[in-house]
Amino acid sequence: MTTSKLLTADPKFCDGCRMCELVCSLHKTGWVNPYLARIRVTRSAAGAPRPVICWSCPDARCQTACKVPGAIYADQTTGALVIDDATCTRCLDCVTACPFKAMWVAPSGEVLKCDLCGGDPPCVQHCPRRPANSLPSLPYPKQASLKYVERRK
Amino acid sequence: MSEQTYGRGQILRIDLTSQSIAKEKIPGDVAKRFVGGQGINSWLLWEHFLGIDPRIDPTSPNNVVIGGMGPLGATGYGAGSKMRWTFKSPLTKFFGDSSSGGAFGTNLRWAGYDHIVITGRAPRPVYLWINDDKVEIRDGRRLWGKKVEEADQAIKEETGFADAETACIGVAGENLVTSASLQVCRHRSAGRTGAGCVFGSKNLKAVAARGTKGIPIYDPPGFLKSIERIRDVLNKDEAWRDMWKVTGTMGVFGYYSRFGLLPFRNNQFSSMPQEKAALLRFRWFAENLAVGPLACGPGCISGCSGTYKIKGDESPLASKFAGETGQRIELLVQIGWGGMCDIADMPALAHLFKMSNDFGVDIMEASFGCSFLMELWQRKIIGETDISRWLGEPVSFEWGSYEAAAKVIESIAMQHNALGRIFKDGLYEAATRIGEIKGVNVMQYALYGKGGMPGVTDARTNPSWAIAMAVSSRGADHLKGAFATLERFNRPDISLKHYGRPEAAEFGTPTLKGMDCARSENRCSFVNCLGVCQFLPTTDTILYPASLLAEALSASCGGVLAGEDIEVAGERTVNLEKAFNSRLGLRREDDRLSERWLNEPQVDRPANQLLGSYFERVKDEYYEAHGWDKATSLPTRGKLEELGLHSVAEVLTRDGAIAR
Repeated sequence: MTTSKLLTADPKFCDGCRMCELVCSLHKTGWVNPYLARIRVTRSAAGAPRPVICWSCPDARCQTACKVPGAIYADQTTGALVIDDATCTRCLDCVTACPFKAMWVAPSGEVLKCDLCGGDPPCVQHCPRRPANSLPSLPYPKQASLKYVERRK
Repeated sequence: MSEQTYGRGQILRIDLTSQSIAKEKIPGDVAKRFVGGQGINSWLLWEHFLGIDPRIDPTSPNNVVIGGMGPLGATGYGAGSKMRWTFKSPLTKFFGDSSSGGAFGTNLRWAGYDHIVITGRAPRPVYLWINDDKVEIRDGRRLWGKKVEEADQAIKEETGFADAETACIGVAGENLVTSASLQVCRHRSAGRTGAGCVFGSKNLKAVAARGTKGIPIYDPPGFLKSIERIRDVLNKDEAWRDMWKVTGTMGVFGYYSRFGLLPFRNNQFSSMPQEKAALLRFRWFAENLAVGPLACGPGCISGCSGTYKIKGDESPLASKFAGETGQRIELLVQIGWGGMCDIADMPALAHLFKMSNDFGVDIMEASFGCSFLMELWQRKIIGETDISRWLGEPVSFEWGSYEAAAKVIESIAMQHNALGRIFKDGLYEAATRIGEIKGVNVMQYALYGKGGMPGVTDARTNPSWAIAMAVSSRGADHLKGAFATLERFNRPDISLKHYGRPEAAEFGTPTLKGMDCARSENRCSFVNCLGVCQFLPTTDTILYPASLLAEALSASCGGVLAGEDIEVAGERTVNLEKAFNSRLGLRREDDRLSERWLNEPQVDRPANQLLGSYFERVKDEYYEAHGWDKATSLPTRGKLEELGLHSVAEVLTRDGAIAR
């Protein structure tokens, strides 16, 4: 792997505003629709916000589960595993294999997966709980819900 | 100004009597003139009462309840997603509306509806289930009698969608308590003026929505730029960055107490002893109860709410609520239960807040009602015998009595005892009834503004809020004209910008306060037409010029829009609500405040001028600033026609409710 980055999320600092979902769908589709987003915020049983993101797993189960050659491949720039919708047979094996439940199916049937947006993901830019956006005003100065950080080699 | 209709949702009309469901487009000229949210809601209300006598009993099937969210709500614009509920108020018998956060309104928009118009009355309890295009009226008998959290859970299970969001009434609404709240997503209350009662009168327990269709954006890259722009402005706003975003509304409590704005012990005093106030400030909450931050609804970069957990050892009363979790209290809880009733115990306040929400009781009516009883108890006008008779058990109404507060909420909601029935129709009626029962006039101890509704902060300290609480279209409140905060937060720069002189920001003087209230009403109104939270873009017109918001609206809905265009839509809406009330016979004398505020000097602020000595002059200035007739307060034909409201002027002429 190159010097590429990956997303991380810390649920402790997430306030559940869902800006990540909304700007994700807006950027990807021109629509504002959480059901088209490649990142989601769910709620725990107690009602606490829980960001669900693609963690860019090494030996990712989505990729090992995929039986169609070339349907899931690593993007050259970011190293993210991305789905080639033209090749994908929509068997959904990858969706069920994801241990983080971070893959979804759009109403059109298209499989939705985070592709790190070419290395500049709007979800991170617009997370109001990331330090660059929130310091110095927040009570927990080190907090950041959503970050884009260096991958461990 | 061109039409802003790209990507706009439909109007969903549901008649519960005939069980009919219809969908229609928002007419282009309506979207153009009223934008959305509060504006289109008020227009739909006005239209509804053209065919129906506006003087009807608000609990009759002929009343209407309209929910709506403006075009920037639910879009990820970042300034919040607020929806508005509009109806004829069963509490005040005139114009009523209330706003709420939460994710119900956003789901409604994502399902393709900007407005929902509910009329008629179901023969038995029902709830509405909106799942994208599919709209159903469902049997709600199983839900009737349930508290809000339970009902919300039951609906999620019954529909099979955990992501279905609800607007639901509690027991108070079912029992037709006229001030009953409508609870959106459990905790976000459309609290004022009795939306819950209108729901109850229609046998409507809840509306549930789930939207997966989303909203197309006219110019996505342009809209992303707009999102960045308002984010950068917010980050430059010190008040936002350093306070509101961190503390939410709780943050101003300490300031209010220090500057004599905090009504203490039923507003016999204007500030709280410091050691008590310290127990009710945000700092105490953050250090003892806070768990994490929380945005009240999707698409908000403020996230000014939060969550709490009570361990049980934080305060004298905390052990009663050990293990309880919930959402952070708001300023009105600190003021109502903390200040007015002197319950200086944060865990108790958190519990009372949660309890009111679960019963669907408006915290303002309940807490101001309770503090009123506490003052009568202090003055020995009522005593143990009265309370035992009203409640069926002895409860102390000493200042700070948590038991009294809990009993008041429960009684109002359940209507199972005399105390509940006394307060069924709000504070003003309750004061009248107690006066009759005891044979003494107790009105001087009731704190209210227009419509007999409880006010918010001590009106005497702050004339720009005093006037707002006397004139607001929905009765005393702080969210329409009272966002005239130049005086409160000392902003001579904004005063200079609008009036060429700084006095609107001068604390405690009448100068320019009527004028500023009128301007502020227009401003709040247009922000509420947009569907964003009025919290920030409303107050600071220098940081948040109308053009900033207009540009975002153009990027999302198409067309080219100037700041002035949406400003005019706000003024149009204010005039329409004024016209609605004028048809119902409201005149200058209805724009009033309670006796204590007008004519009782403040014991802890002796230097303040008596409000009553100059109040009528402030009102004169307010009516003139709006272009209305100051003798009657009626709107003028000239003003209405200038705003393009010719048809409204015709109706008022027919009803004899217009000034020449």
